Amino acid sequence: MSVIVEVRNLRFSVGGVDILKDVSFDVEEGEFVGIIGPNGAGKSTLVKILVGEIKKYTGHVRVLGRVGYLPQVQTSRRDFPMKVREFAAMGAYAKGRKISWDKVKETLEKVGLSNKSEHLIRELSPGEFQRLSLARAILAEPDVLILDEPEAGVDEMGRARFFELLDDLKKRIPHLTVLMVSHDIGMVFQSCTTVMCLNRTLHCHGPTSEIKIEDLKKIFVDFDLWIKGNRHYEIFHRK
Amino acid sequence: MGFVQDLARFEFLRISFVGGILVAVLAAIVSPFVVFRRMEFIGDGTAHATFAGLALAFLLGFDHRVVSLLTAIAFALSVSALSRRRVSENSAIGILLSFFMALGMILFSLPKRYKANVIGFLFGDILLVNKTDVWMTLFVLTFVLVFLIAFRWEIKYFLVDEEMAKFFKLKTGFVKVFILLFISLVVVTIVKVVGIVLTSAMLIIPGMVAKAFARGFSSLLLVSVVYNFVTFVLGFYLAYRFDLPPGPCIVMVSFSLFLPVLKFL
Repeated sequence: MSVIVEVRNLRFSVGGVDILKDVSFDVEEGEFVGIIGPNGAGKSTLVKILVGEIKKYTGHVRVLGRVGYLPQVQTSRRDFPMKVREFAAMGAYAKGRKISWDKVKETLEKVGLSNKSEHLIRELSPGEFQRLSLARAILAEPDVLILDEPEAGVDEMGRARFFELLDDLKKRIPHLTVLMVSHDIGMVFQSCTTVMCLNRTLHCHGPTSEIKIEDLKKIFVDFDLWIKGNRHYEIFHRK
Repeated sequence: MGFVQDLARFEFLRISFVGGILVAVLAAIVSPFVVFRRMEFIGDGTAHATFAGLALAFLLGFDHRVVSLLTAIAFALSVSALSRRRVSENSAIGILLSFFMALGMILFSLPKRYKANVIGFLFGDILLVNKTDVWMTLFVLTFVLVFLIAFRWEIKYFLVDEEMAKFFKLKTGFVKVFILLFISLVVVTIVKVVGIVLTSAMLIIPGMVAKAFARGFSSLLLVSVVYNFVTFVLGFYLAYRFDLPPGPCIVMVSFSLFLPVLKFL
């Protein structure tokens, strides 16, 4: 497998305060990377650097191929009268100012929204809208898909469905590389092949099975408290 | 049917009516942009800025349409420049609006004989609309329609999600500049009909109404156009019938019809 994302000695500061410091890692084609860390760890900053939203950093960052992106904060105006299929088509249109409606239909089917393609985007639930945003990202036919807290603002059911969808997507497109920032550590350990623990600097990075519970305790202050009430307790219990 | 007969009989009335309809349609097309881009204040600010342009044009004896347009563009650029210097866009508009208005008042006060025109420009005088205005409005309308058709997807994606449209490398900067230019052009053409103070009504209300009922981009424009057309014709007729100033009548009709729409917003 070839390296598709390469980051070396990445540093990003605001007003003399390091948000990211000495971050280096490689991501290989086809990996499903979960990026976890406490609030203020610099996860979203890292994503913004990877997608090119932040440009003033030091170090080396290289993302090969087309990037698909699902931002943390939905920037869309949900009150704009746009049909679901038109919204999804933004990704396809970006490729060459042409829209293949068959492809849009097919993708909406994959994310379970084919019955809502003629609905207005304001008529979707937050979970459905998140899946629609995923469809938009997929339609751009990315090599690397970057998701920033896709579970934010989505209820438990919607969240489970979204992660199931990602698993399914990964099975169907094995060469697709996914980098996902998430606060749902349980889901990350269940779905991702690789985990990165970030707290301004990279604390641990490796295959999910090799990440130790002690590594997580180092960056999550209230980890013990959190783990007791977590529905994915057994994943960590095994560790 | 005195109104229809008078329209047929008096050319000035016919020109005002046709010119007014074209302006109403033009304003209605731009209105959804103003509403969805939350640019209501900039429309109002641009209208006030044209006041300085009008004063300058009368002072120097230049065509007031050209000078007003240049002033409107200067206003938009100044807002953009100030907002890059840690001044919020709304604050920048507020500050510059007063400045341009004050400048206009000073310029208008210089040659005593033009003082009477001030009220006309503040509240509009549709009966002063001439053939050149009609042709100019028709030209701007054609230009806007061609742009809308050619870049409909870029415009739609810019309005629904500017950040992601930018991420997907769609021409958002280009669309943004054109929308600002359109607003400036439209404001300059509306000013003569309803005046500086009342411009906002023609530029904001149809977009708000369309937002409540539209089920797509085409219907967004259609609802907006129909609304402005109906309110213009009604307002114009009421002004004729009761011998009232047309600009304020159009605004009153537009506002009255908007009130029941509030329920759907």
